[in-house]
Amino acid sequence: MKISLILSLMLLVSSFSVLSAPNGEKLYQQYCESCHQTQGEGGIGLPLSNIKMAHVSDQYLEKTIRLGRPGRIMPAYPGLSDAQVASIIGYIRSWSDQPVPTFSSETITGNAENGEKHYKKRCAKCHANDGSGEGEGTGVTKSRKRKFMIMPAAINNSGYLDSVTDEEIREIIIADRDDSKMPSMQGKLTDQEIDDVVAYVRSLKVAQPAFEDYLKEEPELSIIVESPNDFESTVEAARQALSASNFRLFPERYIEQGLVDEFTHNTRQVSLRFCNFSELYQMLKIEPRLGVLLPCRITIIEQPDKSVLIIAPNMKLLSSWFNNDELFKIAEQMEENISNAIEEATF
Amino acid sequence: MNRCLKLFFVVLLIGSSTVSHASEDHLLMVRTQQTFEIAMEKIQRLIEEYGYSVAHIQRCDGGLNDFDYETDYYRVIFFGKYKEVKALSNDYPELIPFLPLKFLVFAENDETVIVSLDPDTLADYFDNPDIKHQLRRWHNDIDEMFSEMRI
Repeated sequence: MKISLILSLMLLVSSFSVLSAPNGEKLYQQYCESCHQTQGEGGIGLPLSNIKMAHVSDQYLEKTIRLGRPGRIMPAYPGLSDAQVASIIGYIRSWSDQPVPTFSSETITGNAENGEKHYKKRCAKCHANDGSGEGEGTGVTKSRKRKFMIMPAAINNSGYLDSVTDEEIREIIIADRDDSKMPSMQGKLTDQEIDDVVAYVRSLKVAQPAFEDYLKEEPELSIIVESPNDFESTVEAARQALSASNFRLFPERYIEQGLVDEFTHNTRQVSLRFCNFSELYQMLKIEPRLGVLLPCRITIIEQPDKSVLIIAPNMKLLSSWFNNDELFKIAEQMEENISNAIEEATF
Repeated sequence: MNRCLKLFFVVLLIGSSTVSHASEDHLLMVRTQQTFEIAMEKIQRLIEEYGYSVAHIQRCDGGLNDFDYETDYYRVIFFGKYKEVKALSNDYPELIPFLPLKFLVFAENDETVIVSLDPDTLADYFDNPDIKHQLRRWHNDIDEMFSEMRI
């Protein structure tokens, strides 16, 4: 009786699974649409155009979803089931009636040294000497003026190189890509020279993004420094230190301001808000979602025992959450500037 | 019978937790085909419907045109619940840089993208189950608001 009951329940559970078979469209909306747009037009992420899809295999798409692009915005989704990944790919494929290409997984033998010469002459202008792209973020240029309408892929990325086969790289080199304006190398390079470029591209692989090492240090969520001075003096010293560090200051706000009437909010918790426009300019180009961290601020609070704390976000840690190595490198400099200002204010 | 039921719920629990941890992203995002103005209006209404107050809206376009941005549509909405913000800012100063909560709203041509840091990401930095629970509640509320933005 008990066994049959267990079996019935298990059957019921499995029927739930069948009934809730993955819906590719819904999963695409949930995981992909924010960056790749409704029909793969691209935005924060690269376009999933019909032309591009005609040159990549399902295996490439599957690995791309699973591995993401470490340090290059696209997150990895290792937790999605095979059926879920397949349904997302099926949905993307449904936008086009073009045949799905397949590629051999065999290694192409080429001379990487010779390939480097051709790569630097033909490819580096867009993909950069180290294959990292051109240093202005990813996706499609919309509101931001950048060097390209579609940012060249970081072909040194481990997620990319672990997803693509040699034959697929070869196909991309010789394909005529109207969508990204990537010219075909067919006729410009011999078959052997193309194989040499494939070998060289393979050699560019970067093991992991720079922020991975930093995360191993288990950084603190926020920077908290106790001030030796009273609240008013600390606020004034912080204002002066930020101005001296070439930050432009914006009107100050209390943490609780706007959430309760002005007679109730705590005026002993004040946020100094500031910006360095040249850093902001650089950062917004490479990461349009940066606004969730804006404006830069440090907060000064007086605790019940009258001790005073200066609190700042740990910009290096926060930037690592964007999976954007370019952003992380700028945040390192920003962190140093903010830490110097705090040190100055608490001297 | 009890054992059977326990087994049944354990199986269900495993299934549901696999789904909720499918992504390793630290940001919550939604794209809506609504124009920027309509999306701004709707997300503020949802914030209020979920019991939060909009503290203020930061225009980030003051100098953006000078920075080669062609759009004026880039805003940060600060929102929260007074009692929660008051209690957490007193008890957990390290949370202060994340208070009040924030939504970034920006236009991409005729569509609008809304982004938030995932509060669940912060849970790794706390041992206290109460604060973990609070962060999960925020995550769920934001997730539901974003689902409604898709409609």
